[in-house]
Amino acid sequence: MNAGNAVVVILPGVVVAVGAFVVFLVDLFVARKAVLAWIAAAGLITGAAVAVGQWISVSNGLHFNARKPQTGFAGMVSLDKYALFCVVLFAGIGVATIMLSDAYLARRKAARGEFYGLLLLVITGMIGMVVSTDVVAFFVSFELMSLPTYVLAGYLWRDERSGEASIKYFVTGAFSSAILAFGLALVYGASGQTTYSGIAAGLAKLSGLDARGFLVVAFVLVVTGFGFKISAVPFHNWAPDVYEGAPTPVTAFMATGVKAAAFAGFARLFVAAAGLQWQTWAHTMTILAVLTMVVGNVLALPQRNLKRMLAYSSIAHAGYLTLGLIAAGTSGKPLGIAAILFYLFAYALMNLGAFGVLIWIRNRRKFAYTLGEIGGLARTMPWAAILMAVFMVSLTGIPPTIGFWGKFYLFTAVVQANLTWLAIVAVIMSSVSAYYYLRVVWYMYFREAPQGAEMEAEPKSSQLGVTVAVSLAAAGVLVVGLFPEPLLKAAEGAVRLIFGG
Amino acid sequence: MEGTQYMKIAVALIVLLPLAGFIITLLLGKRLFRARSHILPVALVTVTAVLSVYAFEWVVRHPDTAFVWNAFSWVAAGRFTVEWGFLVDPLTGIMLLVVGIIGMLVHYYSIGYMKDDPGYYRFFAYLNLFMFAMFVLILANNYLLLFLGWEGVGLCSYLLISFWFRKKSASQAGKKAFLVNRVGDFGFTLGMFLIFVTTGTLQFTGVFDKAEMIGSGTLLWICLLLFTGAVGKSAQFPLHVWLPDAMEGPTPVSALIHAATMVNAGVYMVARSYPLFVQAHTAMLIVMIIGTFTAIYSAYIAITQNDIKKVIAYSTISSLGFMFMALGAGAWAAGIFYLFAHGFFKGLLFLCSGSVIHAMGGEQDMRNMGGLRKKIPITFWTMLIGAIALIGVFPFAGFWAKDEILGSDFSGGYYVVWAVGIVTAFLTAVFAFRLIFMTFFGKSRASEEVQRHIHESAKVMTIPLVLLAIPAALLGILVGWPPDTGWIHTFLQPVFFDVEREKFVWVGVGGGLMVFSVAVALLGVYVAYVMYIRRTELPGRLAARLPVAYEASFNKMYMDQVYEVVPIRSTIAFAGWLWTFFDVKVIDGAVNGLARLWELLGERLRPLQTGRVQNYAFSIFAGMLVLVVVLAWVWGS
Amino acid sequence: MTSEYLTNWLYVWFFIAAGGALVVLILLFSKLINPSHLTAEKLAPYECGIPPVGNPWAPFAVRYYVFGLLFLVFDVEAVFLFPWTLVFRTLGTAGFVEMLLFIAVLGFGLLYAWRKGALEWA
Repeated sequence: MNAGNAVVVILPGVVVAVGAFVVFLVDLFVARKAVLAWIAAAGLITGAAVAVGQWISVSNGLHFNARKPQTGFAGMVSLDKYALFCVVLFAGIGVATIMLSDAYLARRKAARGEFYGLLLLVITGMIGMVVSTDVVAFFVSFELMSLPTYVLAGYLWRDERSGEASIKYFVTGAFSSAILAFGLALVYGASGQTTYSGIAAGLAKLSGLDARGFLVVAFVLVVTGFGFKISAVPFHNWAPDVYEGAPTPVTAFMATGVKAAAFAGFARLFVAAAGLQWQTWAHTMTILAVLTMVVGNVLALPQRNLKRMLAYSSIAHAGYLTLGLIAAGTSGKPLGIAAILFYLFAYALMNLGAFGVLIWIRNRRKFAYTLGEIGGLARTMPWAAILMAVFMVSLTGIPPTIGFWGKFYLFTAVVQANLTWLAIVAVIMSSVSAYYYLRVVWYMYFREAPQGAEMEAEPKSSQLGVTVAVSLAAAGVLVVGLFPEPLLKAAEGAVRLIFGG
Repeated sequence: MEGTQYMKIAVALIVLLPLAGFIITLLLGKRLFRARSHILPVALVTVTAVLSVYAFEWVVRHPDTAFVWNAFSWVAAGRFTVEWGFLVDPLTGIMLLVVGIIGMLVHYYSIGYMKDDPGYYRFFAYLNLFMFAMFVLILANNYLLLFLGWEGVGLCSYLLISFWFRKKSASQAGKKAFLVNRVGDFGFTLGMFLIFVTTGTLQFTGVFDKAEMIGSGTLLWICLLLFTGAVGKSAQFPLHVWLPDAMEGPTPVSALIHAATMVNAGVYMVARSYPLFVQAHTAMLIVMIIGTFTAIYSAYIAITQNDIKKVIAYSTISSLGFMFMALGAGAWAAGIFYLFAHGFFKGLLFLCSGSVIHAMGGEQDMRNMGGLRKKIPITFWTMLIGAIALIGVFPFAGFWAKDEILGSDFSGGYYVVWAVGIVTAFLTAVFAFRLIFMTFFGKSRASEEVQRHIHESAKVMTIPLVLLAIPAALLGILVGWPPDTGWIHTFLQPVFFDVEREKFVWVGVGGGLMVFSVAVALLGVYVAYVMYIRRTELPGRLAARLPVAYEASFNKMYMDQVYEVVPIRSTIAFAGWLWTFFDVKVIDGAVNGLARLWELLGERLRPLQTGRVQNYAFSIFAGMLVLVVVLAWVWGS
Repeated sequence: MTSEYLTNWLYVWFFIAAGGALVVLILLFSKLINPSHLTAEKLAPYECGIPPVGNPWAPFAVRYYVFGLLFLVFDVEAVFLFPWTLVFRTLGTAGFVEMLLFIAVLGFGLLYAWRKGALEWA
């Protein structure tokens, strides 16, 4: 294998990384900062376009073998539909985040160059996580994703809460990264290999109670690292504080992008490297999933700050998503992972949309993100209100929205894995969630606007990016809600190969 | 097969054109089209009407083959697959004709009726959306797609009833329709679920192929649940209460949605599920009983109502009851025949009433009308044709359909049903001609001011009336003659294939019944004539003499009050309890309790959400340790 | 896996425990046997320097951090460059290109620091 081929395998990631450097570079020498958003978006779109091209090549067996994924760097990375699907998803989330941030940052007179550069670096790390088929490459990508996120969380450093969020996220994040590294080291110790396939082969040779005990410890550590990133209970405490304190576009990005990468990357790790040892991690996750769904939903109920409410709701959604991994592990069938991919897509659309509406309001007037302050939104900003209603309905999981199909597929996978009781818990908890989601709609449509919620006469910065991003997200929520078929087919196609071993 | 290519295009356009009209009009109507908002929707609907006729004609040319087209896969999750699949067979053909043609005429009529309304563009956008949903409903080849259309028309109905949403009563009526229909839809959804669980599919053909394999108990439940949906949508007792209130909507809406098309969806759905229902005799019996009861019940209410639209609304409920009576008695083709004819003459009656209201400057109370015959002659004559068709006098449309139904009740041995049907026919004749006499004959009871402004409606409104009057008069003899073997029966034969019944005979019982029912209808007309033309004091005296009977009818059998007391009050009480006890105590208690629990835990283990980062790190570490211990323990044992 | 593997692990834990115990033991032992005559001079932070004034938590110039980070850039570069030179021949062209990329990225960091004014002390 030559290095050129290896570069082809990681080409989408390389494109995005180059994009990041171009953004930094242009920022150094160009005074018109408005161009930066376009460059960053162009980098992401090019990366996604490369991925789409590769997807087509892989599907049709043009340049790559459709049956056997192309690997590179001694099997450390792999080019397959799974990675490509995620690349497109990540790039989409990135572009949406840029659209949401531009006016937000301009309004706060925050530098945009570093923001977009760091954002692209995070996405490079995210792509690395799904492309990796080796725990070392995986961990490095994981860190590449994490470190700039800490900075982004504290990006508005003059704001105390933003700085606080950053420090909290950094300390706990570093702590959990260490735990993850230790867990991966134990896995390496047990199998003597670092590639996923090597680990799978190495673990298959182990036997006996001692080995099981050893693996339990190893995988609890890995699951802890995973649980931290997806904010699963009891590793979730950081999430509400950080989500509330971080700049809203960053919050939106962390809740969708970082979480999506964590799920997609770890799903691959667990399934490809330890699919046969599923009991060691799936049982741990079952405890986490139930706790997460219950605590996330119940603690979202009393929240009156919308960002905090969405933070807890994001915890709850992490619980649902974990079910897909458990289902895949228990049944040994790929439907659970496909459901995760679909759900990640759905969740990205509706959550970015919901945060986008908050940003939209914040850009127009004074807004402290509380429930009372969105009262009467249906009259003051009717278009924003109706879009928000769409997202809330979708987050609850009511047809004909994408959120419904996301839950439908996820729970179907769980039921088919003979874990009906888990599906029942999930359905009950998502009906609890209807209360706090639909309450938002109720406030917007049936409450009076609070005092002092007058629009500022002239929005200081262009709202176009936010409006377009939010409208597109809503259109996606509804269109895929009506025609879920193509996306599900793509998700199912994406997971077929990684379930080889 | 010849022509399927064209059929695919036709069906796709029938569905897509109104949708496009809706989207474009909604987006551009307010700013760009304004008073010209009708042009695009009306043009599109005209094209779909032509295409509907084409599709119908295709079915006529291919009597033995149904057109089936699975356009594309919609949902596929494991075993659960649904397609955007279309089916055009004789039953759909009839529905296409009704929806396409009446829909088009109502669109034209609305141009005049809704003129200068501030929501002009919105009205046409909704109408187009309705057409889209209705076409999806009747073209679907599976229950889920049908349900999509079903909910779509429900949504449009809600939007259009509360079209004048600033009017309190209109928005209330819209909500009522929406809520009452949810009750029925809940049944329908459960029925669909049960179908899927038992047969593993929702495709009509797939389900019907397995109909014989379904256990009789399950089948009965399926049929009853589906019928619950039909009861809601087609306004049958006891879920009929929304339809009279729905008259708050603009009159073209009443004609299109609440007389000619949407309310027929329930009848259509039951007829479509014919292979299921034929196997479930108990379900058929229940369908018949509900239908028969609704027919006489609402006809009885109609005779005392004073609002011109309410009279027709109750008449519609009664007619729908007639259809269910036919279906339940096994006279499937007759039921659909009645639906077909009813669509035209009832749509006509509504549009005429709209023309009357228009002429009277918005007045709907018949007590303030009278003597309009000369002033609005076109409306009068067309409405008269509609009324004659409704009461079933030879040779108008209603006659053929109604007498087939009554005849099949009689020959099927359901003598009680037949007798009730005859009484209903009598009541129908009374209220229909009460309406005619009160509105068009006698002296005008309107104020001077109103009288001066009475005028015939614009051509764009009267021409649709005339065009509808033609089928209302002639349709019966064209397709329904000779009875029980007429064209419509041969046409529908492929759908309701194995109906074996005694055929009608001119001489003997059949002919006798026919003459009898016409005589009863004419008697009704005479009674109305006596009461409302000759001796106008009679109704008052009758009401005074029979206060209970009168009050019961006038107050719509107190159904609204019953609902007020039983389900609504109790729901409010329950909701109140839910709020005070469940929400405040249990939920809030649980929430607060949980929060307090966290706090209590926090005091011991350091608060979990203190905002202190050390605690968070500790929680991560502790959580990890607990997991290790728990799993080690689970695995060790 | 055999239990042998875990036995090997036991040695690790034993060493950790022994190491910890040793520290405690030594401190304890010296505490016990050494003579303790505390004077003011002995308690001063620097026996032969300037006595510190003020709070030891005093903030100091953030520029030191910047220089610390810049130092890291070259430090990391050096850490990778030395072993690389040893295997340069076996790595071939690919190795050369990779190292060039690596240096370019680090160089970019320096460029960035320079443009942002991190190299100027004022």
